[in-house]
Order: sequence, then C-alpha cells, then structure tokens
Amino acid sequence: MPQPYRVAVTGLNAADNPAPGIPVARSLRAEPSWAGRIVGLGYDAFDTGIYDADILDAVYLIPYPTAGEGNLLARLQYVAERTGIQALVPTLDAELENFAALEPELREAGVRMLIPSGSHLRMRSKAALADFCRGHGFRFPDTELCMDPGQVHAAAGRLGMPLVVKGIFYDAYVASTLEEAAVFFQRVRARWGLPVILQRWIDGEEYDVVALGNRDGRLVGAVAMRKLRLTEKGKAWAGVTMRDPALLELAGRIVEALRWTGPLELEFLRASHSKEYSLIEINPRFPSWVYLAARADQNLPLAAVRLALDEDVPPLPPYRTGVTFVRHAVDVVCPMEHLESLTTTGELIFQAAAEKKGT
Amino acid sequence: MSENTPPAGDASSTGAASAAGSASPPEVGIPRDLAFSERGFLFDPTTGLTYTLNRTGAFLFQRLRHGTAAAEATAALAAEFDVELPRAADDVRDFVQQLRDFGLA
Repeated sequence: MPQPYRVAVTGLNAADNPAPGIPVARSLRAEPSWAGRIVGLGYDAFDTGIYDADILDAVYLIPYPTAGEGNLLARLQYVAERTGIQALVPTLDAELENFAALEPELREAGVRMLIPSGSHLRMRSKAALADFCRGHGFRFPDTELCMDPGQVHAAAGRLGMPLVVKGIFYDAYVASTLEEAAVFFQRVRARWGLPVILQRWIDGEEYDVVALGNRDGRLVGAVAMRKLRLTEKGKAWAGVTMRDPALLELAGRIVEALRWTGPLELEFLRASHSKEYSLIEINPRFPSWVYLAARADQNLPLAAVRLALDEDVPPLPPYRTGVTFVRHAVDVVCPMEHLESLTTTGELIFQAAAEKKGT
Repeated sequence: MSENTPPAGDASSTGAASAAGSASPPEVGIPRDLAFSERGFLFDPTTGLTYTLNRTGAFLFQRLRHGTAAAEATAALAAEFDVELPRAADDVRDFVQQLRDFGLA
C-alpha cells in the first residue's frame, strides 16, 4: 500500500450524538502500517473531536454549508495548499451536496473524494426513499410526507399509532398519541425544515449495515451490526457485529440498485413477528460506529481513501462476528492555546503530538 | 425472541410430573457457528442476539452442541444433578424446545 496518505476528514463533533469523523480517523490509524497524516476539518471551535491530538495531526475550520460552495472551495484550496491533502472524507449528510458539487474543482486542487453524485444523494434521501423502495421491491414502512401540521392527523389515521416522526436530515421520535405527533412535527420542522416524515412504527430489532461502493457502484465491503443499547435519541451506544446472510444479501442488492459510489449506512428493522427486514433509512456516509467495522477486519474508511485515490481495491474479505463496541465519553484536556489558535486563526497544528507519533 | 433471556434448563425449575417411560427426548441439531462459553454465555452470530444459560442449561448445551444424543444428555443431567431420570427427561425436552423457539436448534 502506498504510504503515507494525507487525508482530511469532516464531522468532528463527538458529543451526545457523535459525528462519524473521529471514528473514520481512528479507523485509518487502526491500520498497522498507517504512517499518514490526518487533517480534521471542523465547523466550530467547540467541535469536540478537534482537540484530540492522538487522532488528528492538524485542524482547520471550514465554513458551514449555508455559506455556499464558493466559500467552502476557497477554504479547502487553502487547506490543500498548506497540508498537501490528497483525499477528503466528508461524513455529514448536510455537507455532501456541496462537496459533490465541488468534486471537479477539488480534484483539480489535488484532492480526491469517493462520494455519490448529487442525483444519487437525492435518490436515497429520506423524502425519496419510499419511492426508491417501491421501485425496486424493497420492504419499507408505510411513509407519508407532511408539509403542514394539519396533515398530521390524517396521516396518523392512515399509519396508525404509534408512529415515527422524522426530520429530513436527522432526528426521529416515536409518538404514541396525536398530540405527541403534533409536538414532534413542530420540533422537527423547526430544526430541519419541511417535509416532515411520518412513518408507520414497526415492533422489532434494529440492525445496521455499513457498506462501501466503488466508482462503478459495486459493493467492496459491508459489515452488519445489531444495536445492543440505544440512547434516547435512538443512537447505538453499544453493538455487536453479526452476519445474517439474508441481511447482507439484501444490503448488497440495495447498493447495486443504487449503483452507489462511496460509503453508506443502511438501517433496518427486523419485525418481531415476521422476522423480515424493512429498510428504514439510507445514510449517505459512514456511520459513527464505523470503527467497529475496522476492528472486525473490514477497514472501510481506509478502503474508501484508497478508492478515492484510484487504487485497485478488491472486495474485502469476510469480517469477524461477535466483535462488540461500547461507546463512552472522555474528557480531552488541552491547553488554552489550542482554543486560542482555532478561534483567532481557524487553524491548529498538533506539532508536538505529530513529532511524538513520528509522522 | 428477547435479548439475553435465559433458556431455562435449570433442572429444578421444571415440574417432575412426567412419569418414567415417557416419550424419548428429541435429537437435537445445533448450528455450528453459535459461540458458547463454559460460563453459559451464548452468542448467535446470525442474529447478533446473546443469551445467558444457567448452570444446568450450560451443562446440557455443552453436550448437545457436540452431538450428544438427548437420551445420553438426560442420563448425564440426572447423574450430575442427582434427579430422577423422568424429571431430567422433562427438563431436557423443555430445554430443547426453548432452544428451538429461539432458533438455536
């Protein structure tokens, strides 16, 4: 494997709903022969992960997606010039459209990505997923899109109670009553805008698959995980790798149907009664539990970097089952100078840490 | 199926109502890929579900997974835990049924 890679990663806020950037960076470092550099791209001086000198070699703040593609491109060109990054792994749903649009310019700046096109992103969006599933015969919970609070009552009548109220990017709440559904509708709309997604609730177990498609839309690797513990927001806080051939076969068919390039997370519910899997979400990036996949012998983030750099990556070998993760929070202690540097210059170079690691 | 619920198998937990000479305990086929520790922790890699078996359950499972016939496991259970054969046979039958209900046999 050609080394060392210089890779930039976004999505570094790892608070109660951790973004995938730090797990992606940890996965890269988990490769025994890793000798590269990892540049964190943060949106805020209090994105928690940006202070972790054991994982990142440098940090640069970048403009929020709402600042537009032009500002983002200018900042990324600057970062590329300063750090020599060759590959960039975006990990947040809300930023992907911008990165997809900037792909040609970034390539010209020497920065490669392995991400889906804008049209592929929209095909699997939460608002379009039901149509995609119907078109390809994938089982999916009955879903209604609501643009107005007045539509909630009628939709709930068709879907039954309880039901799930979901935002277009994030957030999902289980409403047991119409009143709760109305409250969740307003909460989700205020945070993520319209439409708000109402979905039939399925009693069952949650399973996730992280997968990676190459530039031809073919599956390179996939790891399935059963959630063992959830936060009140429904995020996995513990999980274990498992291998149900039916689930992996289904995941493979979905990736092929999407002709997906890049990482994605497929979320399934396995109904208690019928034992059948329903696809409930496709997230167009690595999940925050992706480090588990790397430790179970499928280092999908590293494979994504290699594919981004046009290396030949054959399908990954089978992963180990029974590998378990439990997430826990740690306090990272850092000197005030780190905060000062990020606040005043938007940059932080972990020089001492880099020297310590010999990179 | 509920997560980490113990299939019974505690010989003392089931009744002793059945008489000697009741139907033979069924033969058992246990998937090879189930991961099992001697302390009674069982992991099904196909579903990701885990189970905890009590002492008698672990005793039985360890034998059944290695192909011991149910009748032979019954005799071993009766000897190890000092119970009558008919009662042990009932317990083995119940245990095997629970394994089947959980998709473990």
